[in-house]
Amino acid sequence: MSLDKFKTIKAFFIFQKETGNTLFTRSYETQDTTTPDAHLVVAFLTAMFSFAKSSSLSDLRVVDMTDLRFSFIERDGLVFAIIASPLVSPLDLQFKLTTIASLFLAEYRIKVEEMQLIDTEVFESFKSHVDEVFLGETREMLTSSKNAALFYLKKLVQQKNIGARGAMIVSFTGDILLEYHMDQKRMAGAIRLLNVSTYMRNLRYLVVSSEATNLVAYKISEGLLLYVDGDPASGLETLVVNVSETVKKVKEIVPH
Amino acid sequence: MTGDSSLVKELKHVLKILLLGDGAVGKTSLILRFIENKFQSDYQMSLGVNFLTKTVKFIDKQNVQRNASLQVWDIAGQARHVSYSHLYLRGASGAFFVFDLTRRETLLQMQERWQAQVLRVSPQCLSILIGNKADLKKERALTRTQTKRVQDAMHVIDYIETSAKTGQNVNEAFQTITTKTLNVTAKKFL
Repeated sequence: MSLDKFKTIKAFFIFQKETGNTLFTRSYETQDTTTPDAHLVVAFLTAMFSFAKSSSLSDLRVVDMTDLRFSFIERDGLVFAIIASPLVSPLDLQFKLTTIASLFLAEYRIKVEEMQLIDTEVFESFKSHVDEVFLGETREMLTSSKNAALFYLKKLVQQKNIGARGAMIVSFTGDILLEYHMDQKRMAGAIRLLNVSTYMRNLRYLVVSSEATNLVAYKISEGLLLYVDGDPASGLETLVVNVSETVKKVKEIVPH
Repeated sequence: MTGDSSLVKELKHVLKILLLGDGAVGKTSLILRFIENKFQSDYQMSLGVNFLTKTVKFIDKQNVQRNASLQVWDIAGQARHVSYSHLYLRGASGAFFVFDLTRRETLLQMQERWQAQVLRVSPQCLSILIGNKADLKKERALTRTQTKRVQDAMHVIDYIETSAKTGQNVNEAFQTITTKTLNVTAKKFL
């Protein structure tokens, strides 16, 4: 499966929370039949807000379904919502939504307040900003750095007796930048682990050990982590030592 | 307007001010202290880019009342890496480059990491270097000589040591960037 498959953004909406009026929609689906209907999405999210409010889930920001992940934030009476593949990092979606909301409010807040009737044409020029944010990376890496880093990931995974089955480099928000032989389920689990790191200052590394995996997340630099999926049949200590050696190599080629 | 009869007019301004610096140096805390006069001791990483607004009012030397609406942008530590950073860095009138006085590494490479990026998209932007966590005197890891060297290299308009925890110099920093950006002298802040 290609890396792009994991990073699919399906659609983005901005609507007024009170009235449900849609201000802005952007679909990234190539076929009309799969484009989410803005009215249905708004109705669904409005119902979710009511449910969250009545259930004291005030900080509910992500809803997962089998094939879809809804993520949304509310700012100044507007809801910024995104539909993505469930493998897109919730933290990365929140990072991008927060950024888009700030850009939108800085540019259009006064116009929205003064509008008697919603004229969506006003927001047309915002499309290019939205595309740039959603299609951009939350940790820029040059192609040359990526190729060089991929070499070290391959070397780590192909090394015998370590038990490294797959490796990937992700941003702190979970944007997958590079992967080699990473199992899809563990990739999703690893991204979820990132929630933990947001509460830790100066994180160095994280290890999660289960019957199925020894998952090691090592900090490369601010905003960048190396994840390695290790076979529990091999020793955890050997894996951590070898991962730290790989991190040293990657650090040399990735600007801090 | 105030009750001062000598005031001849009132001017309104909108200024975009950026707060930039590595993770956990206290950018969000400085904004919270300035906007809401609060301090939260629990650290949580900022996600993405956010802004809050506050109006700074003052009378200048010509007796003109200035109402400067500051749009204060909190740029998350990791946001310097993103491919679309120019979208939120452009159009800035002023910038605070914030480092942690107890962590030397947060000051090193400030110029390359942050200032170069800002000046590329907002070349007119005036900046102030902020050494935060000044209340942690025993843990201080930088001397004034070391900070002065970076201050001179960056050609910032000022260097201010602040504490978001105690509120030390926080308002003063925002007042300074406001008056310097507008190129006026304040007679009295309201």
